[in-house]
Amino acid sequence: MTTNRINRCKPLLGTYVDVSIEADLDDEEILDLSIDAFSAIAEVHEGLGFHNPDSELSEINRWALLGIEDPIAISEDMRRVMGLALSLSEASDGLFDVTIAPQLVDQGSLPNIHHGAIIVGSGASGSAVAGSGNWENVHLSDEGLSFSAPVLIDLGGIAKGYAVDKAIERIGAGKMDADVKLNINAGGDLYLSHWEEETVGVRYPDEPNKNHKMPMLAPALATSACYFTEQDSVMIHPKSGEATVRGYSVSVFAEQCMLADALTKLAFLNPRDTRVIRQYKGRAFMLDSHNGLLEL
Amino acid sequence: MDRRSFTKMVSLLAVGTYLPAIEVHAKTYLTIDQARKLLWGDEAMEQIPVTLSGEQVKSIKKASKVRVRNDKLQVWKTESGGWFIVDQVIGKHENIDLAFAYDHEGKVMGFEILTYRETYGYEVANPKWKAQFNGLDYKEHLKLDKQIKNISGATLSCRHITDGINRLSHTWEQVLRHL
Repeated sequence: MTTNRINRCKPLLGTYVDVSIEADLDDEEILDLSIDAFSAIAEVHEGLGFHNPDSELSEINRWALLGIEDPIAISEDMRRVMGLALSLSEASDGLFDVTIAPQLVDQGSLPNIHHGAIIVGSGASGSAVAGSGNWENVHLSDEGLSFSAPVLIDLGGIAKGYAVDKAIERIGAGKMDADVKLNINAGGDLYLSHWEEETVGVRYPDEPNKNHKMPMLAPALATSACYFTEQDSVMIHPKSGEATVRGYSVSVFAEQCMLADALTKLAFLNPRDTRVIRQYKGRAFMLDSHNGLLEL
Repeated sequence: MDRRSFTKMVSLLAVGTYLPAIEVHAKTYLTIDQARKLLWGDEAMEQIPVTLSGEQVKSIKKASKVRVRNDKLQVWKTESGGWFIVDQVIGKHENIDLAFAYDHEGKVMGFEILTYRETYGYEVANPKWKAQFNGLDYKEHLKLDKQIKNISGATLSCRHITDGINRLSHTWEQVLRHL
């Protein structure tokens, strides 16, 4: 059989998700693999999305906002994402923190779906949320998640990457013995199964129609920047609570998309300190039009 | 250009990796036929010529709060009374051809992206650039696939697709359901 190919794109995770599959499979089989990939991504989109009031994350947030110490049971997806998120928070001393959602709601980047639960007070930045805890108040155990202070969680900095990883795993399980070449791009969170032979174009943050070509250095790559300032592309500094606007983008290569996605947040907020990125075997780069590409 | 910046430029050229490549990010996914098979299987359908009247354009715009850019519809009515619609969604930075399946009650059963193009500044204003996308001949678009395929670092929001679905749902409500 000759190599067959399918390339589909769907709006998911708030962006366009592009799935490309090449394999010695017939039309039906290769189509089924693409359906598997999109359904895995849709599950993450539905379960871990902040915007959807019916998502598992929203249910957890209703508990989290009350700071309920009894553990709430969680899905395997939630466990894996929160597991990495909390490890990264600890390793980075809170520079990575999924509890910055109140600030994102406050400045309008996330919808205020938990009406009345968020009390906007006058914190250090003048807009911080009074009475809210941080990652240290989120506890993951065999029984699930528990909270020692009111928090609100947004997984926007990590779930997109996880969704891609889940799609890869789903295809891996469904492909049987076929040799499958797989490319998934979820708005810049990229996974390439045959990465050794591939190059990638990293966009210039100030000129998104131009890109800087470089070889892929690992199967997964994620990039963070403030690209389209008229959109809700912001990053909150967990320490100051302020929106961080920078002229550069950062890209991180890693073994998994979830890791690459999350590590870009650390690289973006503190490009001078790459210890945590190295600890997780990532390679980070900074890109801007003046200085070109720099490895961090 | 003074000598220093010229030297700098030459050395950068020698390094070879600095100069940014200017490329249109465009990609073809499915052909109309592939999308039709995916959305409707082997169900028979017939293309119906529909041109919206000025009145209809206004009223769809009013109901959906989305601008109607094209009064000629590319629609097929299926055996079961559903619709297969090929349409274009235009956002500030993107321009996307899609195929939609609506059932006989006007519900969206699914949709597929056929072609995705990102547009910035000059391309939008350049009639030559735009002209290459006129008409819906997807065979023509295939050559765009030669553009760089792996791009990291952009997160365009996909809310314009929601607007497009909203507009087409009202188009069904006001026009297609009566055909």
